[in-house]
Amino acid sequence: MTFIDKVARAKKGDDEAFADLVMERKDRLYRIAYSYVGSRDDALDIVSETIYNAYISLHKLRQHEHFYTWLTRILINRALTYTKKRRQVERDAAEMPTEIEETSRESLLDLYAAIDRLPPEQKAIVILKYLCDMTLAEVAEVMQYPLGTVKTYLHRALKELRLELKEDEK
Amino acid sequence: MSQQTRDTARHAFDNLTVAPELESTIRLALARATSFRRRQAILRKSLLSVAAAFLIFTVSVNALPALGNTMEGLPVVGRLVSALRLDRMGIGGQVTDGLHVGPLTFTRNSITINFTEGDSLVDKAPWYKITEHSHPYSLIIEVHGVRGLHPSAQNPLFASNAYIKEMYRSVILDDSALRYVIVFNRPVAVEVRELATPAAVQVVLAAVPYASADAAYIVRTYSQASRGSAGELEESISAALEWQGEGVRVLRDTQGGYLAEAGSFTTELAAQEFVAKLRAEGLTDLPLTIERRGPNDIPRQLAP
Repeated sequence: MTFIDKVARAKKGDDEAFADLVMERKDRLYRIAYSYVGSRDDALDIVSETIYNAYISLHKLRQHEHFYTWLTRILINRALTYTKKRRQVERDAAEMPTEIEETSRESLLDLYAAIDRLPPEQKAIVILKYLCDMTLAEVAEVMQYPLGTVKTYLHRALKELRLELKEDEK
Repeated sequence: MSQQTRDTARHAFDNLTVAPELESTIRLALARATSFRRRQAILRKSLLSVAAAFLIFTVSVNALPALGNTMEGLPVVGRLVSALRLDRMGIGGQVTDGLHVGPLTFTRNSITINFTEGDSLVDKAPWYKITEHSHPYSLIIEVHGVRGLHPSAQNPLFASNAYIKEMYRSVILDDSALRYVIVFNRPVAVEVRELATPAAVQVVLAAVPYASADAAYIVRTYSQASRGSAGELEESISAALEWQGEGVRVLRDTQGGYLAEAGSFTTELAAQEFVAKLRAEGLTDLPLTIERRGPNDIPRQLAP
């Protein structure tokens, strides 16, 4: 069964097809959510709400080939809502991959801290572009912004990050 | 942002350890979603006739508890009966052992408690008792046949719920049971639903008008540093009342201490008489006091 067939079957009410589609990208969804909120439990909550909302609103998906873009959009919207309600993000260094060197780990924590201080939409764009390695066109599609807007936000975010990281180095 | 930092960030993202509960969390979300869709479909198909039948049924079940008990054993209808208990206490579930409480999920107006064994969700809910209280508006959820907590049940993240002011673990002197206290920010109507496959106890909340602003006189202990101590005091009070005291409970105070309550009264005189009764039952050394409390107030920290 092709990917498009699977999406079509899921849309027609095939729960197994929907579960397959979700399970194929579960790790990536979790990692995006975690990158955004910095906590294991919060990331699980966001993924859970995303899957629930996606299932309920699957009939609204127009283009089958954009299923994962659509799913990521729901996830980012959940993460945005979540962080607007919550306190400051508190990241746990212990949850970082162990094989990263100590110096890289520190610069990574500085980077995350700087990303956490960005406005929510800019933060989402930076995570999608630099951590998930999406193209600008893909980011624009997930965020439902014109490409020019994404470029502008990214430019501002990078400027801010450069400033923040420089301050931390002093 | 240097290329090296970007590369490290990418590497960290790709190698981030995924929570082991991710798959069961997704399965649970799917189960919730399919259950929701099924309910929606049933609703659409039978809107008017079911509404009429539902009204008659609700009235019957609440007016005739015996009817409710008889129908509980029937599939499908049994679930509906569990969802209609509108009195101050809800009881249900099966005898189990060694389950874990959680995952816990919150929506704006509901709390869903699932149960796990190992990494898997279980199909039947353990035995539970849910009681409604005021001063403050709250629920106490007691689950038996459980010995552990899913990570999401350790410190429940209830911020998405519109009615919960605080939720914490209380104490119960039984190592195969757990108790939660949920304190609301206003009076609410509570509906308890028991679900199966996967098992869940779902508490659905709706705002109701403030019925009375009357304060109550609460017979309580002084605040204790640990919930364990408060649990022991609660046990002594329950034993003195031969396990018949409806108002006996453990709550957390405004400063994070714990206290045991023995009963709630509308006048200070009645509360004083109750203290005298407890003393006569042999609780001469119990650190009891009387607190005047509004219907929405959390207990104050009180010391001798």
